Amino acid sequence: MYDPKLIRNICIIAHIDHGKTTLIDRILECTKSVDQRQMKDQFLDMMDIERERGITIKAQPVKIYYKAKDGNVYEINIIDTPGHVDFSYEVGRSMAACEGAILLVDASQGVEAQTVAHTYLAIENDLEIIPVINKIDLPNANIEETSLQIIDLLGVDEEEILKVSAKEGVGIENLLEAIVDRVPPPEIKDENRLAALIFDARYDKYRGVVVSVRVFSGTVKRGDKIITMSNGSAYEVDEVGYFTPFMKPGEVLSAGEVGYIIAGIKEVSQARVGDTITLQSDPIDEPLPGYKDIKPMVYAGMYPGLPDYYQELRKALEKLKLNDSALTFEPDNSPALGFGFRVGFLGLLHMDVVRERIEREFGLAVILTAPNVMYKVKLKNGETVEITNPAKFPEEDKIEEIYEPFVDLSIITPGEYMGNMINLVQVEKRGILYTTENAGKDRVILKFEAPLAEIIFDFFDRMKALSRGYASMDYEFLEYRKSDLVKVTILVNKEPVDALAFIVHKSKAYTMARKVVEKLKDLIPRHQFQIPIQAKAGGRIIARSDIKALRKDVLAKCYGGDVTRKMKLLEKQKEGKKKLREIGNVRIPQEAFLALLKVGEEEE
Amino acid sequence: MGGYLYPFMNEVYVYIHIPFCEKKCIYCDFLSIAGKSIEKEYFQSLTRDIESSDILKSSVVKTVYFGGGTPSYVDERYIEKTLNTVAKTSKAFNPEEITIELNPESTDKNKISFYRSIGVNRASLGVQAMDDVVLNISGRIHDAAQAQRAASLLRKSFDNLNLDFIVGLPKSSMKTVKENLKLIEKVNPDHVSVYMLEVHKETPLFSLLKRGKIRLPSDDEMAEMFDFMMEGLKGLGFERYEISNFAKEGKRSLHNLSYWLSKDYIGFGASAGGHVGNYRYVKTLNIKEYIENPFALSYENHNTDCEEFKETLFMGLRLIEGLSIKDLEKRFSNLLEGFLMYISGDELFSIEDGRVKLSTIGLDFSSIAFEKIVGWNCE
Repeated sequence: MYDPKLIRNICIIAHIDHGKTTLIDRILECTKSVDQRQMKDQFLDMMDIERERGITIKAQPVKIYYKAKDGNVYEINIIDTPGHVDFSYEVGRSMAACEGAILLVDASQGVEAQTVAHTYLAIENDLEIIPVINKIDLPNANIEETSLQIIDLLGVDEEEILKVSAKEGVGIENLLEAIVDRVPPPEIKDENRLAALIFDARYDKYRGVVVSVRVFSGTVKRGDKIITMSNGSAYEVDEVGYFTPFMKPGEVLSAGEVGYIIAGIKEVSQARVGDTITLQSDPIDEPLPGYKDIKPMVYAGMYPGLPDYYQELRKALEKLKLNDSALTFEPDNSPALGFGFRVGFLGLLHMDVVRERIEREFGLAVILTAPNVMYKVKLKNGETVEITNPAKFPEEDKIEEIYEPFVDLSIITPGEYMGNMINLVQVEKRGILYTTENAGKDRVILKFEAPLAEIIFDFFDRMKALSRGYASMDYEFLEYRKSDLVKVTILVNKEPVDALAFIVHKSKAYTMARKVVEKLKDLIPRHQFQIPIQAKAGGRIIARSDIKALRKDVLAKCYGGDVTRKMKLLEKQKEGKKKLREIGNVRIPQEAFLALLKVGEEEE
Repeated sequence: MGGYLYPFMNEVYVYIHIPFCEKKCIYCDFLSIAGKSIEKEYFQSLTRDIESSDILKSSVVKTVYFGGGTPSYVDERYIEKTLNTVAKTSKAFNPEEITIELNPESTDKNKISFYRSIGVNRASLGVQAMDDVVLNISGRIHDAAQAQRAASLLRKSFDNLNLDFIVGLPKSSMKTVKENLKLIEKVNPDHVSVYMLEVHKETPLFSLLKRGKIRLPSDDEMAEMFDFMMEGLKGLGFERYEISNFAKEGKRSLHNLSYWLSKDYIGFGASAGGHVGNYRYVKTLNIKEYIENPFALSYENHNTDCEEFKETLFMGLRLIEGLSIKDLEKRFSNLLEGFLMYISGDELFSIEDGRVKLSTIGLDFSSIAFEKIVGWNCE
């Protein structure tokens, strides 16, 4: 057991692309923690998709040893945290495992909304925050303004802000010294019973679930019988150890330490982030605070690209779920798309990542329908139903009231785009501005209450476009509120297409309906006959467009040497059409099912 | 020898591919290369290829067709030599039709009289569009005036002349097709081919379109242009006998009919295809490989009855009059009924006067009709 006084547990708060992963790479290099041969750039982001997108989804800890100027060798645990709004809860739990945080800000970008939100989270968790300005080597680095923003945010003195270039390796030594000096060692309570906080869980093909924990009190070792307190499930510990960042078995994990536990846990949903592990024989009275059962925020239909691949898609989702406790899915059957699943995600990025992993890791093409939030519908008979699929929305005459989720939305923007941002949220997105704060010399934080549904559709891109890329955002679930919503059904050639139905605020029903039918007109190929596309709400047709009949589709040429080539070409053409879904006698391409998301693309 | 019948001899139709052009057109997906630095080597291999053909040695040649590429681009003596080789190698040589394809820029009086002197009796000129802007953007190296001059010259020497057009090239419009019809009216050819533009993946046109560097007329405009051409040709006394081919009476292309009627034809030269009995082959698609080994193939197959039947339908239904059910019955007695069931009720096909053919709608949507044939499982 390492002397707790020499342990420092820290995390890093940073916006995407502000250089967090590069900084960790450099620290690993500087402390010679990773063998050069094993060193890959961006070491901690283990998943391919994470590496490609430059984002971190799973919190991945690493332990290093640093010989400080005072002569002591310190154990520093760095917990890498997710950097996207979809994963805020995980960020909070990672922070709960630390005593300090590095606030890393790109000198050319300044403080962004998400960073602010995470900084507040760190303050809530009583973390010692070390502000660091990164990328000081960039020609467009604005160190002065970035410093001002940080001073505004944290109320620190200019001298407390460190300046580094992770890329060039400048200032790393100073940073390590600051960690040792400023971050307090873990507080060891007078408590011998085990309390370990789960801040991450990862599924390993061979070992089962590997749980990342921070031990707050007591010890855990091989052979211990442990329970996860939220659900009381019991397991026997097979192995404990540390991340170097590779897993390295150890004897025991003690109070103050960060490490892993392997205990025959089958899937990550059984070891939920934020849950507390204790000993079955001598459990602690109260779990560590902060555990939440996280629920999906958005839902979308997911169908196999080719109808025969339903079972394969199910297997892929099951495998992903082993490692993704936020993912939910249940079988769904759409008349238009056949058998598939209604899948719940934390947000759009999460949705994108899941789709990409299914396509890449399992080689399956999937059709995703436009995502929506979960609505709560109070029926006239007094019952309340939760609706995750617009197609299953109750009949209008049975509905008493409809509720939709609202979020607390913050946008940080340079002052000159403030008007644009307020307009966007208030005029286009049904939000209400409730406060503005200054953030640095020329930046403001705008806070709104807004319907989540408006934020998941066509919001991020609009915000970026209207602020020339400068504004950034963050949001947090607030509550369900009563809302005047209506279901819009889309009919293609007079046939309702369930997978195209959507829920929209009554004030926007006409505009949305018109945009969607126009978009579908572009996305559905012309057929031999004219195809009306209609939008229906409240029993009436509220918008219509027509796809004109195609006049010709000719195979112009075929001579002696071409026979097999042309026949193959047509076979391919036919294969391609298999990916289209037939509704009535109309073939609908997969992109059409995302028409709702594509609405508004041209407006920018 | 002329005028004899060869009742016990196999009849074959001979295609010869000349894969050289002065410049490649942006839409072209036929095998050809720009320049003719290797024409000598190519024709040597071609001679070897022809001389070694056992089928040719035992057959009577019905037609010969020099296609390309641009046959008029190469030294005409190679054409003569090749034709002589075919004549010498075949069991009997008395073709009714010998066609050569020409492009306007390489058509001149000397060449024409040379071709006539060696027995070529049908000329096929690639006009494509009577519109300089269209020709230029398509990568053609002649203008409309040159096309007109070449067509008139050919008309004087050939009593069987075809003009080729493509409808829907970039920048083309109704004005273009009207000019096309004017030329046809003036030159009065015996045969006209009008192809709706097909965009093939391997062509510069495809990538230009994909990158948004070039635009095509809309589907509706293309359809309108084609229909206008079709009506105009009808008014000038041409009969549409195949999806894209129009002829004056008695002037249908005998050679091309051999493809559509799935007769026995043999192809020489890189990328040339042949069909003899149930055997189908395509020569190598690589000109260099062909020069090294003129017997290299890119495809060969002994068709099953099902495959043969599908190919027969695939080609035969391109003819406006379709195929005789009686004839099909003779060759594919156990498959025919299944096919007629398969298409029954489909508005793209029609069965009339003992023939199966594409309906009027089917002719407009031939791509879909053929897709249906290709997708039929008769094994």
